[in-house]
Amino acid sequence: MQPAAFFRVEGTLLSKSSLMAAAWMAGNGQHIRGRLARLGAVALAAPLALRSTGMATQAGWSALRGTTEDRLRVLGEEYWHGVLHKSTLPVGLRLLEQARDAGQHIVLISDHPHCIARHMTSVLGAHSLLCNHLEVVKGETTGTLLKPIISGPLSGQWTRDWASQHDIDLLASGGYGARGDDAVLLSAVGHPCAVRPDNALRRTATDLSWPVVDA
Amino acid sequence: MKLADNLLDVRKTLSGKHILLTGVTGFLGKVWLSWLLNEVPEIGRVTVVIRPRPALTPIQRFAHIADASPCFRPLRASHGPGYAEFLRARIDVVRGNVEKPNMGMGPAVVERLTGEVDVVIHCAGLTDFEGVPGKMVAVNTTGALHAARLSARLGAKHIHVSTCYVAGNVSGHMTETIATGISPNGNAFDVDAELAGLDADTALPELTGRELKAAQIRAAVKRAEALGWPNVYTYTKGMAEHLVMAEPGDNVTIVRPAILECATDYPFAGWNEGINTSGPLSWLIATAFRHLPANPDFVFDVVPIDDAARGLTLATVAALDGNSAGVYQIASSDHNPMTFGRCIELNGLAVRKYTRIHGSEGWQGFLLRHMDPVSAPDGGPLSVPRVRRFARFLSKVAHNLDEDPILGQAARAVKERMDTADRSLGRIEEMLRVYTPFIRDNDYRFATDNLRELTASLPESDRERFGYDLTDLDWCSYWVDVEYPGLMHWSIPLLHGQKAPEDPVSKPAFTLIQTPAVKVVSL
Repeated sequence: MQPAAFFRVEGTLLSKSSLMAAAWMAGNGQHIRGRLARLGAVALAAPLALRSTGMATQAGWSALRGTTEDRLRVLGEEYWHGVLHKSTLPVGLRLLEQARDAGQHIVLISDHPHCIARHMTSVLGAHSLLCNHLEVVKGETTGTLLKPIISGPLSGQWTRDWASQHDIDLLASGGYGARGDDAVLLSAVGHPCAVRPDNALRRTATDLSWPVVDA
Repeated sequence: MKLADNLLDVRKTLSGKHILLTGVTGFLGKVWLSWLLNEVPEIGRVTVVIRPRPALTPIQRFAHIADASPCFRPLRASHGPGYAEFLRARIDVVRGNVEKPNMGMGPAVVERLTGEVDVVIHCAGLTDFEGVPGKMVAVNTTGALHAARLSARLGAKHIHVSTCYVAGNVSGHMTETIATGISPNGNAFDVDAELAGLDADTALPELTGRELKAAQIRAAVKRAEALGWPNVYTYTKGMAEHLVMAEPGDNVTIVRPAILECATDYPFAGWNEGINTSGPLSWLIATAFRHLPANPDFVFDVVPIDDAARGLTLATVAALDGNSAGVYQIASSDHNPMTFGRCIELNGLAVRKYTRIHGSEGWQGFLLRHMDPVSAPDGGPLSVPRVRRFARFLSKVAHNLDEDPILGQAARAVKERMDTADRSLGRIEEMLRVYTPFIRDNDYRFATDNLRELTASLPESDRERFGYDLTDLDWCSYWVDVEYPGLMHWSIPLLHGQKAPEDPVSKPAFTLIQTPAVKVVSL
């Protein structure tokens, strides 16, 4: 059994949300008309984030239906290198560095689909990546995120199962999150930490005496 | 005994064999020779037949390739100071000319090679879609016959390198067969009579210079189309197949590659030479031109050149083993098809990535990155003829204003630019016309069963090195990271009138002659 450090990427390591990636992808479709339609669909999904990040993520990426796998791959790389990589948060990187120095197994948990998130592993120096996967049929995405959907609250059971499969000692592990949804993940580990938390997570962290790191 | 029961041993079959190779200065011939020497160094001898150039002897031409071609880079790197010795032990250079009987080799050379050569691989050919008919026939058609007859005289097996596109103006599944004397549109024809008819049609004493050339090409295309071939290239290559197959004996094997493009691994990823089929199309997509008149559902049959080298080797080994299937197609469309729609999107994505990495300035760079090319079989709203008409209209408007005291200067500048655009668009229109049969009119699926059966009969340990199977080729990665950057580096400069990059020669040029590394059989 080894200790791990679970990082919810959005909010702790990166300032941009997965929905912004969906909008960027939509705006870079092959056909001009398709771009406008998809951008409109992502814009409609945005208000859902106020109610549920998970719903917004699913609705936002569904706008990409019909986009080819080739385009997702190539644009995913461009988005990571040109946009997302520039939004890394120093505070998150510092915590990541500390966890790595402590010999912990680094686990990134990201709302972003694999075409983008796969670039995080090598650049951020992670051992495992848990991210969303868009369903692809005959070379084109259906816009559906495959289960398990890494968005919204991850269930404690799911976290325990994953840790068990990978020989991870949860009690010795750290967890880093930024949103209210991340509270379940943080409660499953022995050393939770709220990083630049939103109001909901800050309240939970204060109630449960979790450390809070703001900058 | 089935072939699969009897494992194919490439190295054992080729060990000590003597190969006579034509077309070594071309793309396939060069890569194949370098690849063979790298993978099967136990080959006995390769005699390369090279035509002299006005200022270069055959040996100088070969020495330049061996010294400076990036294609031979792996050999130079792996053999270091022993490179010249390595070549000396395996290569002979012979002066020749495929347009002549015995490929232009003198009687003494032919006598010396008789009984010595195991197989002749005839790669030489002209690939101009609309070359001058007389020259195209002399090299591609009668040249092929000379090569086949020489093989018979030498007592060697014969490998005739053709093209999948001899299939002509037809769509569908193309088998690895040939119906001798039947043209692509199903008409019976006789090659000798056809060549005589072509001679008569292209004898135009009243014309000279460019007019003569254009009229000859028109006449040849007309004859080609009457038989079901779309251009002079496929017409002359198609007739060659019928000629060589009609020769007595059964020692001829036909190898038909599809569109040969950048290498995946050998000599290194991205290597290309000359302007092949994809080059002009990729170049076009990297300009402001956004609508390619291709059918998005039709297949673009591309094969990396190093895979083609493997395919050619397998066919050669089968012929040497006496197991030739007669015709081998080197293609991807039957087992890993890439449609034009996909290829055009990949090309747009490749341009985008390339310009992101290498930079692209101004409005054109922005346009390239953010307006993707699309396939438009009917030409689309920005078709070349439409844009050309618009350019002419603007030129006319500007011409009417060139005496205007206020707008005159600007109008003259606009007219000049529009006239230049009109000329460029005219060239593009002509290029697209030549490509139309392959990108819009016909959907080819070339069978590769024979090569893949040979691959299945290789020992497991040899399949990666010598096998031919493109099933696992990832077109996205290939096109974006290998093909397009390769074209930009090795081929597109030629379209701009520049020279293709060569490797620096560490020792004085033509080291091989000074050493001398290669023996001259006949000069």
